[in-house]
Amino acid sequence: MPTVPEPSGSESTLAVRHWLERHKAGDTAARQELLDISMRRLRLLSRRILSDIPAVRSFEETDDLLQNSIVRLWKYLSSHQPETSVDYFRLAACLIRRELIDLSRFHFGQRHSHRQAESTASSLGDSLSPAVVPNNDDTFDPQKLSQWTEFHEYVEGLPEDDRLLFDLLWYQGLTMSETSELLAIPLRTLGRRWKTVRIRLYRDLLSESGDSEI
Amino acid sequence: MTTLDDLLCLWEENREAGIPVSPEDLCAETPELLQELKWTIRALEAVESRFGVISTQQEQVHGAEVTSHRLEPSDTVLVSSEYRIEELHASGGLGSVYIATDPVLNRRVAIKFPRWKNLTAEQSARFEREARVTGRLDHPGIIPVHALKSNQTDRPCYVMRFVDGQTLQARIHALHAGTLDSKPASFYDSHEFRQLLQNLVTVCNIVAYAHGQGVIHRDIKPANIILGPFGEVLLLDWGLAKVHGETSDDPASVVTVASDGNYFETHDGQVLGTPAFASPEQLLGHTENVTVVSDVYALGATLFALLTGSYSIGKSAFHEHLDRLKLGQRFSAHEVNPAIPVALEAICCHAMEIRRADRYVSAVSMAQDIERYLAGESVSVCRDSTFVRLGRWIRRRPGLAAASATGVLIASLAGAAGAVVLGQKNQELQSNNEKLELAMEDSRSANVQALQALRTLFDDIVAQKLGSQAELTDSDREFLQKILQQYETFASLKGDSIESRVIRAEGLQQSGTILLQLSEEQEARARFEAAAKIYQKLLEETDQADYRRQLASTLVDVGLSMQNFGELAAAEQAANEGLAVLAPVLVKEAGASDPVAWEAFANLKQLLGGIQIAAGRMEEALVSFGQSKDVLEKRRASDPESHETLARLAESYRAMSDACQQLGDIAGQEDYSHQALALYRVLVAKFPDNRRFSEGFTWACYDRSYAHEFFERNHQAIEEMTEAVELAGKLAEAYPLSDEFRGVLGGMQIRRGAIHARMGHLRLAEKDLKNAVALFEKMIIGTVDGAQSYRQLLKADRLLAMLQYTYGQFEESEATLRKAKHHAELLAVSYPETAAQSWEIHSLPYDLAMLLADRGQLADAETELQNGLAAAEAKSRVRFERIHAQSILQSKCGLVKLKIWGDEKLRAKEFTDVASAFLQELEEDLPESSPDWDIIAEYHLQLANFYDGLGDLQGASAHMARHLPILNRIAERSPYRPTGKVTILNALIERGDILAEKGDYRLARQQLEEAENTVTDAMKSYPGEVSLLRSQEEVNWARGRLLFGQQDYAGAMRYFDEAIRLNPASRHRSIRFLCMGLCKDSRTLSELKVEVNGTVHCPSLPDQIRSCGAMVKNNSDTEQVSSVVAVATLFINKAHADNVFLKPSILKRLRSSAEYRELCKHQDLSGLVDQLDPAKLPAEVPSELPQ
Repeated sequence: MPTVPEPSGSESTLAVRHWLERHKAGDTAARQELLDISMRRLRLLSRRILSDIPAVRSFEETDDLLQNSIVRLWKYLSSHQPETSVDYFRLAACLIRRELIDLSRFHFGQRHSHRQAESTASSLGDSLSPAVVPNNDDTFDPQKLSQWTEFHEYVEGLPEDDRLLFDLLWYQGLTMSETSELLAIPLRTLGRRWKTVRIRLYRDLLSESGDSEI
Repeated sequence: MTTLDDLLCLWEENREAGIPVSPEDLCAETPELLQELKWTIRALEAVESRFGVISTQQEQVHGAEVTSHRLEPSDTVLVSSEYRIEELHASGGLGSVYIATDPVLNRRVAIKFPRWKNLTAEQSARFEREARVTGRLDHPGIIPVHALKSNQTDRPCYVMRFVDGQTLQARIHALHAGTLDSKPASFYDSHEFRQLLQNLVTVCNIVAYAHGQGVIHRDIKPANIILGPFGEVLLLDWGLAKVHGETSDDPASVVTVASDGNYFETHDGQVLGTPAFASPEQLLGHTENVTVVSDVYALGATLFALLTGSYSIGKSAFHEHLDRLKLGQRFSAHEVNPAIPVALEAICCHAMEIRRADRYVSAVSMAQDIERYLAGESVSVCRDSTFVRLGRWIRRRPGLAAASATGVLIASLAGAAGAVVLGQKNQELQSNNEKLELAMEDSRSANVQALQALRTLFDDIVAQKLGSQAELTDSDREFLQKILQQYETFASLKGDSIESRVIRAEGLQQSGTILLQLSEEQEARARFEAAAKIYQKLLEETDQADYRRQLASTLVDVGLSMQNFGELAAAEQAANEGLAVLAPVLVKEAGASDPVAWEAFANLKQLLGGIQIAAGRMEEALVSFGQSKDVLEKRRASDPESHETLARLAESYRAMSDACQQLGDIAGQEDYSHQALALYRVLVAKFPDNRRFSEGFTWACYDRSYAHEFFERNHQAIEEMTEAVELAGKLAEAYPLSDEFRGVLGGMQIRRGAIHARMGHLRLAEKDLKNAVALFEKMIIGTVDGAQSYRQLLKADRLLAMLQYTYGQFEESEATLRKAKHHAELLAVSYPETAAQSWEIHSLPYDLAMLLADRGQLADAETELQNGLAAAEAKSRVRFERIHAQSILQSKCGLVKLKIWGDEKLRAKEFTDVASAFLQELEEDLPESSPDWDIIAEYHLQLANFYDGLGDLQGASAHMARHLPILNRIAERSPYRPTGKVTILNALIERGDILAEKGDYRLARQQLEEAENTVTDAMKSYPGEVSLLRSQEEVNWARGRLLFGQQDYAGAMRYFDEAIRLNPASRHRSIRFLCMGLCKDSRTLSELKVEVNGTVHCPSLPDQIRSCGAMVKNNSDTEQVSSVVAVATLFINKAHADNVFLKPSILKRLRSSAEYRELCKHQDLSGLVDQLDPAKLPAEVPSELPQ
């Protein structure tokens, strides 16, 4: 990946650039600052998902869920020094995305994979439940949660350039102008590319069969 | 040339600027782009709406300055809204409340206006203050304020959430309606009264919250408490609230009453509360003294209203009320109705004390006392008289004459007692020392005195001390030996006088008790039997009530000893003998005149109940423990402080809970375990170190958890089980040498792990099960009962393996099962008898085989099964037992499954026939009364399913024909009828399905009609029985399926809708979706998709595909085929959305199935199904930066 020259940027990118420089210079406090910047973003995004699942929120606090990603990011930063802000944002977005995939899959996917195991469990000669009936205790909208899983996995599978747009604009919440500066591409070009990616997202994830453009 | 991109940019710019522009406007000059533009806009809006992925910037085409839409902390936002007034809702002292509608959000709100039309500045400020005070409080019990506004005429008002409920005042009125007479005591046990009492607890907690925020309400009364339609409780009207730190605007002058008597106010019209509920300091104008306890007074007055249906002022005028307060005359609810429970009256009085310092210090304290009352516990403000407490340790033994003096004995005893007592630093033991001295001053014979003193010492001090220990220390043993020696002295007293024999008998009995403490069971039994003989002889000589009591009491000890030795019949005989001996002494009303006799009665009934439980006679046990419980309840009412009574009562309830569980009456189990739990809470709170109570408490929590689990209240099950686990953990820590507690802890971790697994908390389940495995792995080494530990370990192993399998950790699952096999081998070597009876061991080969089969290793799976089968057959040749039959059947059926999965239908049929023949053999040799018929029934059903799957409907029907009569027979013998009914109903439904499959619709309908009639009749006898309600639901599903098979889709939908009405959680069943797709009312595909996606669970996809494929096969109705294929696509997408990954073997079977191939003839589903491949799971986060 070619190194992108660091342009002047907005406050958040400036902050990241500043702490990256400090981190490269060996300032250990910089690692914590970078961690905090990313965790703020991850908390915000996690809460967006958790707000769709009131039942989950009752079990765990957001920060407990983020422990894994905090540790991963910390470990990475202790042994690597991202060269540029873009590199850093990309890494952080990747970690955030993986964490969100786990989050939504864990709280939804496993809940249902146990249903498979019930039929398996009975074939194993025992069942974990005294009565094999659906658990009607759920209070969340499964469609929303499954769509989050799909969304993150979809982004994970995008071509690198398209994924980078999501990394910066969605996962890291940068503005269009910040992103345009970081990537050194004109704002209008960025806008066009961003629209294209979003339309493809709609087509792949949200549209119904028979929902054609013409 | 204008492009689509240009139009999109223009659209976005206008949108960001807040200028609405339609696609038609944008495409005025390029109409050919209209459709595409519309679609694209729709797509972008959908993505924005769902994922929040928006264009974040307003851009200008020529690259001018970009305006950020990101808000900064100092930014302000103006939000305006309109409300449409609908009607006046309520009008009171401080304002009027209207119901209004928010037309934008389409919701109802409440809007409050001040009652004055032309407000002074001060009044306006007060009104706004009310809104602010309410608005700052954030609690579910306080109605949130949305906004403070003005209407068109600048009249202030504030907008709140609208709650459509009833005031507590209205509910109290309704409760007490109809009569002015005092209510009887039973009124206060009614559900509705208790519910309102619970609501008052909630109000107390709301008030406590407000106090915590520095706000005192000052106008708490039933009219300001709303009870919502969903059980919510809200406290309204904070207009008179006082806020800590604010300058008080209260008047200093004494108040007058307003015209309607509903509130009082100052001369200038300031309202300061409602007289009947206002505290004395409020009414007397001492506003500087109004604190949180003023609200407590109001809560007490509210309780007064609830208890009596009237207000404390009553008919007296306001000034008379004031005079009474000035005189310090407190209000008593008992004056209105003496039948009010003492505890509630005490709470009410305490809250309404005239002096502030005498009231509850906080609303929380009052809430806690009410909760204690509701839980059947003692309340803090209601104490027994000193006389009752003092009299508790005094025992009198009438009829005993003086015997020879044993002053030295007394002195030595006192010395020994003193050494014990002085060694303790406990104040209670100091007072026992005084009791001992008092007892010794008794003027009766020295022997009697000494015996009594000894008994007092033992019962009051030693028993208490030893009750808190798991093991005896050396010094404890030494001390007990000394006491024993003293008792043995009495036991060997010479002489044939009545007194000597009585003393001898008592000495023997007490010796026996101590020998039990020293684990000398045989010696103890001998003492008890000897004592019983003496009392028996005395009774034969002189029929005295006291001898009857003593004999009965001794027979309890005899019976318990026999029970400990496993001599149940002899123990039962002893118990019945004791009851017969007591009968002439007992009076009809339990506990009325002879507490000692009734105590013995309760003990005997408990003994009998324990024997009956051990013998499996649960219904009799329920009766016995019920009788014991009744006596103990009476004793508790007369002596609520007696912890021994509480303990035995708790034990009775626990035993009844156990019996109900054995019978399958889980509702009964829940009820009794709840009672036991309430009692144990009291005991453990008072005696936290008492092992017996802690243990009982632990098990009561466990029992409750079981009931919650059964009724699928899984969260509550987890809560209760967590409490049980914590208690068990504490016990295990407190008594590290006790295997029992560690075993209990491990067992409870297993249970909680299973509940977690079922709820999908797989990590928590794994943690519990791994902890259990680790605990039992330690326990199998060096524990006394290693066999039990092995069994528990195997159980934990199996559950952990299943859990890991569920999680997709196939290798770990196999490793765990292989480790379990190793443990099984160790168990077989160390404890062969236990191993022979362990189902966990026998089913291990089957478990492993199924795991291997699911991973496609069919050959290895078959090897495991064949080995397991051979081992079971070998053992059965030595001694044929139920467990061997089960194991053989399981292995044979496992082989059938393997062959079905391997598509070897012929071999599957062969193995099914072999299993069928074996089952027939078993059945022929089985006696009618054998309890093993349930296994036979179970395997008839399984074989029926196999034959059904193999297309041999004759074979299926034949096994079903055997299944039903066996179930009927089992049901007839079932002690708890609903359980039996449900098994029959399931069989009828199954039979109906098979007949429908064969095309015999008439007979199928008959079966289902019989099922319907059966469940309707059963529900008359057991209304609300959960298992019967589920059966009723299943009957509807079955009837729907029948009509579906007959292509009457509309008719089928009616039954499916009824089934869902009974159980909304079952709406996910695929046949309903298929039916919806095929119904002539033609729901659109998108609606169906919403319906499918809106379900909670994804049922088995292969079954769904099978159903769909079967429908399209040879189906010439293209419209129908198209609908079914569309539904099949929905199912696959739903599975993918549910994150379902099919196991490799299942995927392979699905893809190769005929039904799937049928569907693919009409639409290629392979791409969709590929998404369910677990190989698609993303890898772990890389440690390197992604390139």
